[in-house]
Amino acid sequence: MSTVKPPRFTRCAALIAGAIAALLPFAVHADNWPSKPIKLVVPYPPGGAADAVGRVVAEKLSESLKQSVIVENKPGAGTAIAAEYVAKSPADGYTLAIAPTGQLTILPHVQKTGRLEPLTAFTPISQLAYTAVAIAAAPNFPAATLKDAVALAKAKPGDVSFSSSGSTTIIHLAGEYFAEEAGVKLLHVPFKGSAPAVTALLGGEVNLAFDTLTVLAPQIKAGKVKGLAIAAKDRSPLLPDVPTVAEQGYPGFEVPSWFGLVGPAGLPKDIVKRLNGEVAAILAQPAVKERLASQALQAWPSTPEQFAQRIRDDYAKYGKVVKQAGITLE
Amino acid sequence: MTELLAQLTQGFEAAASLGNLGYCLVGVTLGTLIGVLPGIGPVATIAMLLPATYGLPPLSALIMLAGIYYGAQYGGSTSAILVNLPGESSSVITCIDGYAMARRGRAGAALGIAALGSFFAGTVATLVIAVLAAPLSELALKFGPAEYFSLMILGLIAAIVLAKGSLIKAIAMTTLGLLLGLVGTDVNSGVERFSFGIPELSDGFGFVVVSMGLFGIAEIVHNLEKHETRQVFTSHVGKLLPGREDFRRSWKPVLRGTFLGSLLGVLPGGGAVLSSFAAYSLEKKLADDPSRFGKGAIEGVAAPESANNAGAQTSFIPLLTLGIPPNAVMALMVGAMMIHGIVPGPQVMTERPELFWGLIASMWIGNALLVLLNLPLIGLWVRLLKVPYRLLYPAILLFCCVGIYSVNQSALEVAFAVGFGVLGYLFIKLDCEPAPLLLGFVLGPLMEENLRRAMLLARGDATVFLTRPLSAALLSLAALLIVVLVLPTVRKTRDVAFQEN
Repeated sequence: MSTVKPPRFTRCAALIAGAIAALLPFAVHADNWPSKPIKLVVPYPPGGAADAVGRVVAEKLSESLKQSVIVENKPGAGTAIAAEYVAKSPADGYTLAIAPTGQLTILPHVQKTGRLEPLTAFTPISQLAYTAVAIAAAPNFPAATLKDAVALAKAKPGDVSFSSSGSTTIIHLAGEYFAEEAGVKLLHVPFKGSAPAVTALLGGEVNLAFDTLTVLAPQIKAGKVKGLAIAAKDRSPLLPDVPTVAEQGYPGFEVPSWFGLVGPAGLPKDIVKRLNGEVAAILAQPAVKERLASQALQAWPSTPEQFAQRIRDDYAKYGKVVKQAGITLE
Repeated sequence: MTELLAQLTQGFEAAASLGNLGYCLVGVTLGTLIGVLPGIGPVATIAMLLPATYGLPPLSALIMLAGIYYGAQYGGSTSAILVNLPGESSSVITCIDGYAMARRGRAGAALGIAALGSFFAGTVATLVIAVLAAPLSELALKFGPAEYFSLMILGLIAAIVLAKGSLIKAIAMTTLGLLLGLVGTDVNSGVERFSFGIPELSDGFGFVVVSMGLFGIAEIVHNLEKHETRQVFTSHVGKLLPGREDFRRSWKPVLRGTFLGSLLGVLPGGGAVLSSFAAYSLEKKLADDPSRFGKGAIEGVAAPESANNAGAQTSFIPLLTLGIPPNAVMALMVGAMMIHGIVPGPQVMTERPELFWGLIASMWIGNALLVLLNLPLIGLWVRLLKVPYRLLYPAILLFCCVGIYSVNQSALEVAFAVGFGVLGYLFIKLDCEPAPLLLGFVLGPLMEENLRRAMLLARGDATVFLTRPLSAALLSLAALLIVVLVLPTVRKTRDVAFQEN
């Protein structure tokens, strides 16, 4: 069933494709790019933060490039399907992608097959936006602060549980990373996505939840769960009363969940430069900032070099967490 | 009570403005259309339309998107009845007796009762949301992994009752469904199982892929095998609307289906699917002559259709009261709300009452519009069956393929569906019912996930399923169902014994 034989016409198609490829160098010159619609791949289904970022960027890029930019949702395999698809696309500037943190900095550490190294398989164009990971406690959990929670976890190792939106996601890693920094053992309870993970917290099935502010801020604000900490440099304007993790004795503890714009490896420099400039202008627009803020996202532009450095740093950071927490796909 | 009336009035005032009525109509019409087209679901449609709602006031946007959602539920039953194609998991059950009715020339009656039953269920469910949203969402939170697991056990046992013929075959098909559900990534460890290194399999087979293959494609192959001149459907289409006898048979199933659907719909994940299966099983058990089921019993359409519509409606409860989207469509609605600066959450009900009550009121208006839209359309749909099959089937196949492709933009998944089509043809030849397989396929992964999560949280203590009262109650209900399953045979032998005396 799965062995689909290549039909005969593929040979013919290959010839045509070869002919087109030979002509391609003339087509990708940036002076006439973009001459046809651009595809922007989003590695998640519609709805959710990545999709929201993708749609804002696509809409505004369409205006500034005077060429349609079409969002294509390619969900599956924890963003690996989209990653492979983009990495294999021609580097002509007509296939771009929204890359979430996990895809570039966690997936390569845990994947057994089809591993794609972030800086050799993709061309970083610009950072786009980020949201901080927050820690919340169930209403029936005795701890009201991060310190209490850590004390409880220390008293009974492995007894305090936390929900995440899935194994090997940035959320899972945030939990493991914190457990390591605090020197405690937490029970990881993975769910399929944020919605059931937060429901479990609301119902008190798990003690703690790690998730992005996008997901947790409304519940904390409504008093349905206890906001313990935000894993960011500064407090969030959404929740001014919730302290950062760093404030509570773990300096430098930050887990931003970011989204960036990438293309396949070897994207022409002039296209990267043009896109980076357009994105910087788009992210400076108040209307865009406002739309991102409604999802607890903060605009976060950068140069391609800064973005590459961010990928390198986070790649090393999460590589260490993966190794120490013993997360393998065996 | 007066407060509730005041709130509902406020809601109707907001929802019944000319503009909002217009958006509601656009929404339900679009929803009906995409529901009728196999495979093209509300998720893709809402995603496409989302940018178009940026410019609308938030209430209008939500009314339109919600209209698409429950409009699609309506439309889905149409293709299930007419061509045996369940577009959504909730209309799988409708295929069994609905399609049988269509083959016997009673498509009009089936479509009519589906529309009227759904309208009734929608009305009741709207009231349930208005009155009971808050307590029901508390109930949903009481459902931990142990309770979900026990509920799924109950559901699977109920699935065996669905079987038309042999009990052994039904058990085998359910088990096969469970096995198919194992394909994909293990939630606990993130390890891929039975994916053979194919990335498209790392999340398992899609529901649309399996159902289009097993039901749609297999049915087409089976029909084509018969002689060309032999019409699939009798040219005599019968009365377009259900008759008095039909109503007499249906009103109780509609009531029971509505009750089950309203209750189970509140549970995120699998609740709405379970409700239509449960409603069907219940009717079959209560019927004087269960052998009519599967051969075009109108109760077998009325009950699950009411249940799935009530469930679709009450599945808004977790979104409205907790701000948590229970499925992909609701996740898009959250996106739509956020674009307008409304953060979904428990506070929406108090901070934006006109939005909350307006949406609820619009659900009732939308249901009424759907009946007005669908009853006159029945004549048109039934006439569609008179189109020669050699013209009809390529169109159905084309829509199936487009629908499957549109889910993940993957051509390989279309190939998988063809594989399931071959499998489905084999099942028809072997006289095996595919519905229990599909239920096993949908519930299996949920059951495993919750079993393992419950065990993880209980630190390996299996008694958790019996020590939690809700879970214990569900399990004893399952045990009771097994007894009832065995009982008819017991009764029969007793009758025989009496005769001999």
